[in-house]
Amino acid sequence: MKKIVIFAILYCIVGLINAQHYKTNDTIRLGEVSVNKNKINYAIGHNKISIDSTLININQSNNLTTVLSNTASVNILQTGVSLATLSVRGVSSNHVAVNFDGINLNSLTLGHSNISDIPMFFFNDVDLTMGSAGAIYGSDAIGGTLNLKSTPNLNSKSEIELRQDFGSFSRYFTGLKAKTGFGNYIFSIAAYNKDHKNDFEVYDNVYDHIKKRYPKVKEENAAIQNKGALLQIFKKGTNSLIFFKGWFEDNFHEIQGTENEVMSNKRHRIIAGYKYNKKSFSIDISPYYVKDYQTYNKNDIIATERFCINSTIKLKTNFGSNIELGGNYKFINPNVHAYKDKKSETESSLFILYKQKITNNIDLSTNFRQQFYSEYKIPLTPSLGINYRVINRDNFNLTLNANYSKGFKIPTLNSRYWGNVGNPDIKPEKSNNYDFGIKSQIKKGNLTSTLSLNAYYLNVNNLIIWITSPTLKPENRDKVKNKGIESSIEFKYNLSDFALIYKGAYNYLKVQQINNNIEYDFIEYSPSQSFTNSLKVQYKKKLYVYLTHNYKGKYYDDIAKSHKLGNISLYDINFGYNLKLIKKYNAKFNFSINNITNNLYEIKKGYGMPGRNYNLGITLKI
Amino acid sequence: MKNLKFFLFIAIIAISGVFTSCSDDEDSKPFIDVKDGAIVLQYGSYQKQNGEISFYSYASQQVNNSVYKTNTEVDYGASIESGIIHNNKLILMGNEADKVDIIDLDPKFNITSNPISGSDIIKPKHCVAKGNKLYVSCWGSVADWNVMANSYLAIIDLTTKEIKKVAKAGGLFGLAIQDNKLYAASYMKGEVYIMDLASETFTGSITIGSHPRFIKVINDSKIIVSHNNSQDYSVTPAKDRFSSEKLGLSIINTTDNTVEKFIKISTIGADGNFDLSSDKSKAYIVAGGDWYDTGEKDKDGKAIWKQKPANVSSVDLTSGELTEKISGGKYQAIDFNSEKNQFYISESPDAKTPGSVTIYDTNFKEIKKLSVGIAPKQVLFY
Repeated sequence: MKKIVIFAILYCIVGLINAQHYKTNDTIRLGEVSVNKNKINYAIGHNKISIDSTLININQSNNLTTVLSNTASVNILQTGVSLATLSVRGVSSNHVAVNFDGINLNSLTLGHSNISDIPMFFFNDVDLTMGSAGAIYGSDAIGGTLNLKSTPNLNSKSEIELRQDFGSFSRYFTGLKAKTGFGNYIFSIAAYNKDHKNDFEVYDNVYDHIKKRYPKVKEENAAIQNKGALLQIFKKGTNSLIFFKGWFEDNFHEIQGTENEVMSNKRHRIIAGYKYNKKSFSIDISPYYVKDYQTYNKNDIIATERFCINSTIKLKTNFGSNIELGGNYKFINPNVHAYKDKKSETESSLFILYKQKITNNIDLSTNFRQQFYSEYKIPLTPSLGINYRVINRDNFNLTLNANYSKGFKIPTLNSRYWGNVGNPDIKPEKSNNYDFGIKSQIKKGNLTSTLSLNAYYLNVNNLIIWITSPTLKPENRDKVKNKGIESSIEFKYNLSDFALIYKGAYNYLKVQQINNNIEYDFIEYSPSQSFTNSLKVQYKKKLYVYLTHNYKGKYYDDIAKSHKLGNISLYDINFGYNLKLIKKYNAKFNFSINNITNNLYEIKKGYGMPGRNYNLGITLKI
Repeated sequence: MKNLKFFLFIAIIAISGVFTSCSDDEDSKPFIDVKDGAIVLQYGSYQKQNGEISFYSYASQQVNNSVYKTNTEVDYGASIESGIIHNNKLILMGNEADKVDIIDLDPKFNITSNPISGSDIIKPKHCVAKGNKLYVSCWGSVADWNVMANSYLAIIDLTTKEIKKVAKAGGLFGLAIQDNKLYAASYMKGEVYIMDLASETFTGSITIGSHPRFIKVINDSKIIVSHNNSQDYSVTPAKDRFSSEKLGLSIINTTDNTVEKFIKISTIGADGNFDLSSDKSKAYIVAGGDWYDTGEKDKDGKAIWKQKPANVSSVDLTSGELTEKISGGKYQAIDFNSEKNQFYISESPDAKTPGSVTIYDTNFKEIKKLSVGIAPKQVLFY
């Protein structure tokens, strides 16, 4: 009976989410996806950062911005509360690929993803591969690649989870997760609705010369209304798996900083797949469909639809090698109000990923990708990585890693076709990336200490910037040569029923930017230093307190150093309590105080962020 | 007794020292006066609200940047769209922050009142003044950028700061006053609206087509209007998107409100920025450079056209003859200094790099190049 009820709920929710009326077009638009499923095995030598699972769990009613803001190696640029992009290693948000199950979520028009529209409610794992990885992930993976994962347990046990949040500035979140199975079929759905008025206090931009201060005013145009659903269906076979995933989003927000401008986004990502696994080889075939439909002020349409088919053959040999051969084909056709020279484009690629166990302590990988694009000649992108486990004991291990890889970025559709400023002659951006790292773990009694230190060098050529000459238009003007250090430390201490976990991360960035033949030692919006700290005290699995601190160093918002920003410290505290109710019912309570010191800060000049705020979340699980 | 006198003496000295050291020494704060020179208004970076002012002194021949912040100790907090000097006051249109700043220049740069802002000032673009009234073209809230239905003219009483809004759709932009009439360019409607200043109502319009941008007064019966990029995206190929047939300058006879002459200038830049010679016989425009057939073909066999570098050209308003004066720069605007008989030409390499203003004589021989802030848009002379 429970299974039937769950299935009916799944059906209704999908129907409701999808019953959105929007303008359709009379031309078939086809799609684009990058193949990256489980490619991480081949990214040997790259610095891979796994996002703290505690952060993911306590931010289930938040978006990806909140989670990544507490990651030192990631620089989040927030234009108010509804628009956020991420960058790493001093390059822009256009140079970080954001992937979900093989789909590159980055907008084809703008080149980046608004991570404020990515709900954490759907994901149980997030990791970040730093550095250029064009061979593995294709275009955009210049600074790094973020992978979002949502994989339910493939057992037929039925589960339901309901979540309700109440927060400051009229914040409400309602979420439902359900899973069930019939025979070899597993059905899972997650759906949410978020409503946030965001009428917090900010400093007005207009200085009061009489009172000699900036007055405080209430934000009047920063509301957010988001809803979405992620449906997953799996059919298990003896050696095979067939799956279908549909992720639907309906996002609306008022554009903060304007009088009454609004933006809405409707996004559909549909993936199907067939996997066949044998002992020494496996085959994956996946078609994808992605539709991004954006309207600005209910009038101007920016839409793209993409279709792609990926196929991969994986081979495993007896002499410790793994080989993956694959290819994909994509068809892209945009529908944007400002593109009058509309063109469809095709993209395809062939790749070889190769990983070899040299000895028990040494792994080597070498990867190649050749991408073919109708409008450009794309270079071959190789990568070479090595992992060397110098010491590998139970209570102490030490690993060295190194990697060299190339990356590239196909110019966005906007930079090529926008109105009368698009530049069809603009070249792709290219990168070279070097990583050297050391990782160590020591266990002594109840204390486990983990240290990671990674140094990198990244150069990017043909960087695209928008110039005025006399009209705004994009050109290949810049290059950057960035180097830095990404480090982290973790201490875990178990004492009887208590566990104490401290995590710290420090990021240092040294920039050499060449703009218009002039050299600069900084890049806008990128601080040279940032660090995060977190301390969690857990009592059994019932109760915890989690304190986080993140600091972003100073930065400037343009080359002329017009505004010095940054130097921001934010403290959050979260309390969690798990309560076992009757029979199989469990309840979880989360209470958080964010921005404890009530810092009225701005990431970007003119876009105030909320001061101290509170949130209470209640989760009921069956 | 002696000791008491001694201690009293020390106490007096100490107390005097305290009061002296605590006094607010205005003379030690940096200050840039803006008299006898050129005031350069900078838009700043797009959406960064970092507009600023630079000042070039005729006497010292030196330029000082960040005038606003130096003199007020706070950021301007908006992008400077344009400005005028009226009755010894510098009046600035603060885009993105939606404000109008009024800054005293006499006896010195000083702000004695808060900017005019609020719901009656939305997207201010340009202004003109007559007597005690300031007329500001405002775009209002924009739902459809192709229509700009909520644009209006804000009439501000400079004494009381009261605002009267006169609605006029179409995206009002450049303004000019001739006698008792105000002329307002309607960017999206292709018209110039006429307002009677006595009744403060729009009484008529002149249809001139394309996208009218800036207006200047030639004499008591003529005004001249620039038409810039038409943004007519339906036109292909891209080189013709500027609708070259419709770009240029229109001379309007204001006695009968007719277009007396249209001078086609297919290369006029996106801003349509221009200025007039002192005798009003010539206009000087910032132009985008001619398109030319390179002789090469693309992979589809179509001819490849490219645009020549931007230039500054003179236009004889009688014959319509266009003469290129200088080229190759990233020109944004041109302003004529009638006192010094010099041209000040603003250049901006991109949206985040500091720009420059170059001073030329009337033969366009370079006199001096000034490094200023980001995106200089206009030069005023005071």
